[in-house]
Amino acid sequence: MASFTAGGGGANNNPNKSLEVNPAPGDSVSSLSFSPKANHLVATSWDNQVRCWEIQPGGQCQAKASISHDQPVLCSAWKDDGTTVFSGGCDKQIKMWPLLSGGQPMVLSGHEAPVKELAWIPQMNLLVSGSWDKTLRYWDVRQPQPAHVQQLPERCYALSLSYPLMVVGTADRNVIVFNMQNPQAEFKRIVSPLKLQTRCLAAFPDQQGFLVGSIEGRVGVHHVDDGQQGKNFTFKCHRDGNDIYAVNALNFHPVHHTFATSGSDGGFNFWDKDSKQRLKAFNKCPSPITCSTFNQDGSIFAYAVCYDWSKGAEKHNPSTAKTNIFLHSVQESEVKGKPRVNKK
Amino acid sequence: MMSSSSSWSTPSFGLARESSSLLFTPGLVQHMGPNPSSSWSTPAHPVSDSPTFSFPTPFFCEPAKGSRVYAYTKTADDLPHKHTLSISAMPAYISKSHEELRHEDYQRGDKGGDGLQKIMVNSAPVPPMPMLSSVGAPVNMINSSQPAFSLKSKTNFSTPFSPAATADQQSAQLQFSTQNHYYTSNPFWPAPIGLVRPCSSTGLQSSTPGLNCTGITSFPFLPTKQPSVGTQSSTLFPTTFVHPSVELQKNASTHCASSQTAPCTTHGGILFGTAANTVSLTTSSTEPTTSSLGPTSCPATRHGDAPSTGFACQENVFSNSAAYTSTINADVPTNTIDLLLPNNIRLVRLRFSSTNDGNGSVASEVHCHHDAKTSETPISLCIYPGENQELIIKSMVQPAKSHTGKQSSPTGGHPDDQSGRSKVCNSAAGLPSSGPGENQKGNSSAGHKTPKSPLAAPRCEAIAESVLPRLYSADYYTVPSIVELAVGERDEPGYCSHVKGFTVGRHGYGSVKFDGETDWRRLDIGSIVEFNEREIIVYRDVSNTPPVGQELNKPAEVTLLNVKCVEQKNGLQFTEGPAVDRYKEILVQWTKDHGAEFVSFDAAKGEWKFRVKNFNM
Repeated sequence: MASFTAGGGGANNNPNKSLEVNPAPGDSVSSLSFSPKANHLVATSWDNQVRCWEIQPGGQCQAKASISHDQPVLCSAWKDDGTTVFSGGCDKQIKMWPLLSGGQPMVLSGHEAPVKELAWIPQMNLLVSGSWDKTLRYWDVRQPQPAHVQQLPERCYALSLSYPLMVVGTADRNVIVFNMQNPQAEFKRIVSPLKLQTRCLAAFPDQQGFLVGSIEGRVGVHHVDDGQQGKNFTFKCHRDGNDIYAVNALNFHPVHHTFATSGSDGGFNFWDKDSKQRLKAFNKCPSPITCSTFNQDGSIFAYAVCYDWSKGAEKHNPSTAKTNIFLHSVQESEVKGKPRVNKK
Repeated sequence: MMSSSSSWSTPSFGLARESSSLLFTPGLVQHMGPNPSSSWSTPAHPVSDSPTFSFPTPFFCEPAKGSRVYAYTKTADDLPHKHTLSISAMPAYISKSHEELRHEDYQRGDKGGDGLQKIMVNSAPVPPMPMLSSVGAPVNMINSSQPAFSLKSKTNFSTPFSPAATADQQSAQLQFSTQNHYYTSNPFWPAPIGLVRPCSSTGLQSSTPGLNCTGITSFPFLPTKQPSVGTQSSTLFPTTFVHPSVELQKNASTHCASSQTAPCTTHGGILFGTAANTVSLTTSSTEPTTSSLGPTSCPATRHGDAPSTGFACQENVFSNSAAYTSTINADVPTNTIDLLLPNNIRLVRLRFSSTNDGNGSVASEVHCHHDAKTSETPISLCIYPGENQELIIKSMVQPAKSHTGKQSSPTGGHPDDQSGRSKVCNSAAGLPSSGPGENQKGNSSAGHKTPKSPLAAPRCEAIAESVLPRLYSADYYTVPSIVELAVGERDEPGYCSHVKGFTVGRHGYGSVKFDGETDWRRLDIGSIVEFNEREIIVYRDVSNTPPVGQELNKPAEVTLLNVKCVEQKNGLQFTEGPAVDRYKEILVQWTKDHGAEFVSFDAAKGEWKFRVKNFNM
């Protein structure tokens, strides 16, 4: 992977010398997702656009296509065959975009509030969407009506799927665990181990538990089985002196099952939960990192640097704000877990 | 808000009572509740109702939406001095996520920006309004004045102090109304009309415009009227209070921004410093690791990526292990060389034998060598009691060094020199021997040199480090000895560079005497000259052999001992007779074939002498 420093003077926008994706979206990026089959990257944005790039072997990024929503887009998901992209946003709609065939997107309507989360369930051939209308909806994408509507106690803020485990984080700090083999019933409802608002979730690749990140610069490692409660713990991250930043994204590495955290402080780190160690700390960007993701084989880590509204509208100057998407070429030493060594 | 509402309702009812109109009371109450702009429209109320009703709607929505309802501040964490920066940690926004707040702001067309800009934008339209109202028709005056009031209301709402400011303005407005009535009934009415000429043009119309004109123009007259009317002075104070609030708000905003910006910059610097240190530590810890593991590339590759301190410790351990392995590896080649060379030498020796002589000679020689070993002790004991000392020494030394090598053979001889050189050799051999040996020899020169040794010892070390040759094996000797060389070098600097007839020997094995003057300075004799059973090796390693004529690669006379003619049947040694003659002929031929010059062979002593031109063989 080629890498270079982003052009322009002033503060270093690219302190980790990652590869920059061009052209950059016109407003903040709300989600990033890679195709399961190829290095196609999709980004949704507050400028109402959904964009797709192809990451070529040499590291160049070629813009492929884009579609629009009527209002800001909040989330995206790929179908497992890599042919279709789903996107949802503030217009309360889900768009099904047959990217490779180049057809017009199909609209799935039904939510009564903005769609915050999307996930494709290949084993069931269903799309699940989480919304601020306090519902989950399961869609058979061949039909315009949802196959099932699951009521939630509060607005959906986060969702993560590792079949058959699915976890949903809600506004009241609940984490609801679903077993996809029985999606109509809550398997368990857990109060978040963190005392402030839930911001992101990540289900373990081995389906034993989940990570929960909050606005208080802390991540909880929680197991679903009651017998494994002794292995639960939380750790602090994304802090700078006395300032505590929000954890904006949690992503598991697809191969090594270590994970990345990205935060409002503009930094991202790689961690190994089994040895309770930080594997790699990176330099902080001048703006928050709003979202991040690994590609299908874990060789690329994409992250978006832009404003996340963590200090409201008054602290944001749209005329000077920058939005960048960067690609970090992942070194195996950065993400491979290692047993804790007893220091002599 | 409750207290504010209460304070609003009281003036409202007061005003209602003054108007003495029961019909308007419910309307006033309804309008007063949601926003203070109703109070501004009171003077215009008799003229038009519809504009008044249209105002409440937009104001109802504003307080509930977006991230500007309450100014952003850091939220204190449970721990002292810790602050959570997320806006969702604020009590006012605790049930809203970043995205929800952003969505609400975007729906209102608010995509960010400094709050001060809003105030500036809101205040901009205000100045033109009075001019328009003073110029326009009565109806236009009413319509244009109300939007101005609305803008001002928005300004008030955008600040945290808006409830207080609203209450103050409410009070001010009420008092203005009272003042208006007072002016109407005041006997001084003609005077103000006269002073305000622009109003006179509209004075001819209905009384309502007149009231508005009076209200507007009353501001400049406040200072003048102040001393005469108590009400006026109380009006002035609230007006003054409002402006400082705005300024405080601006200052607060500036302070807040600056206080938040500076710490961020400072922390950023610290962070980068920390990051740089981290990188530096990682780099420095990696480099020594790579360097220490240089000899072994595989471990370096495996451990080079380990950044943790713990792994660094392990790397050090591994490095030590690698070094130890290297040591072992270094030994193997040495052992291999030792094992291989003797075999090669032995083969060469045998091959030479078969080439040089007939079958009988070969058999004879082989048996001679074999039997000689067997019969050494008994023959010497029987025939030469004097040599018991030498024999004892030989038997002690032989087991230590069992190497067998090829021999160098000279041809020809110098019978006249034989006895003289033999004496020299014997004398040299006797020097290191025990007391009885010396007494038996009666060597006067040895006795003479003994007293000098203690005196020369202290200086010997200093001199030896500079020019003296090195010889560490106890069973080897030189003539002159190392001590004599040291004394000579002290007395005459450069003595070691031109020693005449220098001899190196090994007790019981043989010696070699170099012709002419030899430069012995700094030579490591122990590694150059080697004596084995009936064998001499000079410059074992061919690659270290200097050109002919330099160092020890020069003409010399070699003497080998333990060369005896033994009857293979019974092990008896012959010291004369036909057998000895035949054996001697074999030696002569051997030395001739190897390019050397035969000198002599003493069967009785087992001494064989020959000369060589150099040691390139």
